[in-house]
Amino acid sequence: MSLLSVRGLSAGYGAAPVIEDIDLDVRAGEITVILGANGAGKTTTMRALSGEIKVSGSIEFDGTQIANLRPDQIARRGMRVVPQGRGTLTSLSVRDNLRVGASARTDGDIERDITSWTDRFPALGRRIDQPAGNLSGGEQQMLALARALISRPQLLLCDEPSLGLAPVIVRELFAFLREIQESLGTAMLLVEQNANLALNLATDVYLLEVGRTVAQGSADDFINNDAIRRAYLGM
Amino acid sequence: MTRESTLPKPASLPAKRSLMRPAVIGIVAVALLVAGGQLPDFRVSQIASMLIFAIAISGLNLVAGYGGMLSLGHSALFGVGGYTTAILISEMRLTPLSTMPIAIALGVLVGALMGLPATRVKGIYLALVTLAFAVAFPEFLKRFEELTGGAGGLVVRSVDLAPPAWSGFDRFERSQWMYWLSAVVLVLCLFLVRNLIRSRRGLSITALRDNEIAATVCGVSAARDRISLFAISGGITAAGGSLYAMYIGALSPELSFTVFTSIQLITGLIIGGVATLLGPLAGGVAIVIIPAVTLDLANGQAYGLVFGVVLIVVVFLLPDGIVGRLQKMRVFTGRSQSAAHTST
Amino acid sequence: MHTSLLGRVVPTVSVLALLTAACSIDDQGSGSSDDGGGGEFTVNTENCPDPEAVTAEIGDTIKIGWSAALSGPVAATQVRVNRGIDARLKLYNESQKDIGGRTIDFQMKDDGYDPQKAKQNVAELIQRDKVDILGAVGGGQLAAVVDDQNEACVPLLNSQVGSPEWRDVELYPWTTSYLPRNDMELIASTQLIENEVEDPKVVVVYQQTESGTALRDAFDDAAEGTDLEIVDRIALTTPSDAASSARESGANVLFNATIGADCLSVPEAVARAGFEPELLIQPSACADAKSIYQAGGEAMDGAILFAWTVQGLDPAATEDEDWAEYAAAVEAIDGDPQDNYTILGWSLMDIIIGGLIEADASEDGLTRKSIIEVAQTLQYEPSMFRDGIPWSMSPETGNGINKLQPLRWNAAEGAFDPMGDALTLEAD
Repeated sequence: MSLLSVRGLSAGYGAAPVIEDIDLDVRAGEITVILGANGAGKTTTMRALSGEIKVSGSIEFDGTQIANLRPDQIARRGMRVVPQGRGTLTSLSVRDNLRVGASARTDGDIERDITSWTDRFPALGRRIDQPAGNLSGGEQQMLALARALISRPQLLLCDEPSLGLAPVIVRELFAFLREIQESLGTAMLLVEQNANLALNLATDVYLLEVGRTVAQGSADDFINNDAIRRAYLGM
Repeated sequence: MTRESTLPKPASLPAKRSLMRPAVIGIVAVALLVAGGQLPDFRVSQIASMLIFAIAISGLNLVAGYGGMLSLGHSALFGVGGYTTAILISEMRLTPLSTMPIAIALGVLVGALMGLPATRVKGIYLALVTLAFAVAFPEFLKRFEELTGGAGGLVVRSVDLAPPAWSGFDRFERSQWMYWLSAVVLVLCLFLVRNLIRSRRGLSITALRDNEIAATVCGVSAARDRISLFAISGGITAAGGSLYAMYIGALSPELSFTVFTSIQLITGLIIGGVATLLGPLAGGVAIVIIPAVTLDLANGQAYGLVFGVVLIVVVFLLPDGIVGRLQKMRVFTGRSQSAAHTST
Repeated sequence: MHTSLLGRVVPTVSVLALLTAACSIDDQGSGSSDDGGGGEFTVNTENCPDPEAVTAEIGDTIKIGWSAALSGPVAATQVRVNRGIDARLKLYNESQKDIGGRTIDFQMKDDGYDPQKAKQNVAELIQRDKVDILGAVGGGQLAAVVDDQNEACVPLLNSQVGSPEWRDVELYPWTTSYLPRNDMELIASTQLIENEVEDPKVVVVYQQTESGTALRDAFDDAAEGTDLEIVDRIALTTPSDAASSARESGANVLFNATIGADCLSVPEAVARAGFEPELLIQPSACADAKSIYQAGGEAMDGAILFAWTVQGLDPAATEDEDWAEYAAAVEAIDGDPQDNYTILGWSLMDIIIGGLIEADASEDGLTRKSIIEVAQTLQYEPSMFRDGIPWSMSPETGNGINKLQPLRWNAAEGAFDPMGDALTLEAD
């Protein structure tokens, strides 16, 4: 069953749409990846889904229509985005970044969850009361993930999580995403340029080119289809 | 500045300090206030005016400092408070103190109204929209002459501004009364600002200032938080305006509530320290003291020049403002920037 | 009790005002009761914070402290007024000293036309500088200080305010104002209009300021019950807009309810717009012949000013000894004797000094109490006032200048022509 079901989605910034007529499904508990070259419309798709820009078409999340809701409304329904560039709240402390991440929550366990996430990421724990702007790029990416996950989302949207990170950190990151999916059952939609890593992580794949879906299938299909690999992924 | 930490090492130490510091600050503040009250009457009155401006600036600080939204419209909010109090005292025969809640309520209302555009426009455009409030307010006063006295303004006789009997001050001790009243209101406002900024709502506000997209995708409602920030800011600045009316006893649209007043408040905020809790207090002192000192140095037209030079020097030497500078020197906290979101 | 700064006509409608103006001048008018203008005035000192200080004889130095705008847009005019004040004080301190040999120590604090600064200035003048006499300029500023000053029982003499407000001796016994009450002045204006123009239709152009709306409202009040029809009241945005609206109004009389630079800019714009009212009336505050009338050229021809002092450009007025004394004193401080604002300032201080001499000669000697009691009833002939116009303060009207001479500017001659006799001011 689809957790997220997108039909005929078009969006853009001016008169001409950047993405057009996109259909997309994310299954509950599974990891889906959108591949594509620079300018293919991956980030625009993410921004359209998270409510940052106006869209036409249908976006159904968990059975309700969320097209053109505000980002905070979408976030509160359990669909969280880790924005490209991580969106670190630089003048807030690490702890306060996590608290902001939990702002949709009303239960009393937030502080406990903060502790468990900083236990998971000791680098964040060590700098818990320092401005988050002091963190390294990899640490900020971890913070961005933790900040999204602390809200216990059903679906996590990650926009180019590997961008600007050292390969060793990227591997760590993807291992962590896998771990989250397996332990918490969080569905994920990833936008990624690093096709190799992404295909190893994901179960479902969409390939975007110039704002349109040009191919879709299971990750295995993509890995095994030499034509697609050569034509679109340069692998 | 300390908060409960889950890390074992520093946890016990700040806990002790967090009880000590408010007590020490409280004692020092009360001692300073008592000492200030012993000064000659005209000084007490001058300090009262500083405290009143500090209140107005701390309202502005919420929006412009913590919220990161430059408002040029706070003269109107200051004026709403002032005129509400003046009209209620003179027309409705209310006692000065009882007008304050109404002045604050109207300030909240107008503040919220001013916050509406903040959900749509930002930066210099928002500054322009708020400027429209500042420009329109004196015109509004002139238009509704029956109520506001029009361009001629309103006067509240000092007999109507006499301290209430329970205060223990007689009518010749109005300066003392205004001094203590303003001090109490300022403390309440600063307490409110402090708690607000440390609350979850306060976090959201700082988050919106830092990175609006990142904040909203975390579930923070920019519209709701910005409007309520403007509303609370309006209430606080109107409280300052209400006290100003009681202090000065004479209001007029051209003299007290023009764009120039907005700029004065912004100047005070910058000198005192943007997004610092005590910056508005330093700013209130500055905008009363600097003109007074420069007027002694240079009478007449040279005054504007001297004031300008002083301002430039302050901005260059103390880019974080007085309180911002002191915080960096760890005067208040004893630690460096521990609560980062309370400083720029 | 609340009062708006404008429009509130002092309730003590007074027949005495008529008498005041009509009566002959009592030079030594130390309050002899039959002269109507003076009369007895006794101030109650019971409620003063320090009643003894109020009746204590003032020592070798009389301290006068003013709050006025020395910076900001209105400062330029004030500086010219101050030259007259300074010149008069210099003359007194250097060669007269006829207040029992005392020296006058005068200081002026800048308030930038800001009521809050004025309030602070006056508090400092009273408490720190311990002045014997205060002064203030502008209605907003006076409003902010008048209660403090009355509670402190320190005389505030000859404030530069034209509003009828603050002149009620019951409420403000310690305060006097110098400028003619604008309500009374405008009654005289309406009378002049009625006499000069058949079927008068008046358009009022007013500044959207405290003084502008006060003049507008006072004119409305004055026109009530007369044959004047006020066809339009135009808020001044730009002079040319106001002038074209005024032309459209179908009026044959223009009242320029402005002060400062608009005394000149409005008539100039009216002339440019091709509007030629039969009468153009200016308020008495538009007093300076040189910078307003001479500078205006043809545009000002026929404009009417109500004057109480001599005019610097009037050759006849500038020949006598009084003028010589005045001119020498002003020139000694590099002022321009022909500047009418300087003449106003000189006269203002001249009246204060005249009152102090009289207070010193009173039974009590020179005290704060005697100073205000004399000031509220002072009859005096300031050297720079026009012949036949005395200073005649009456506690009933709070008005010292009770006659105004209408003058018509003659652009060709570069001088004013008097229009008949001086008009006597009456309260409504």
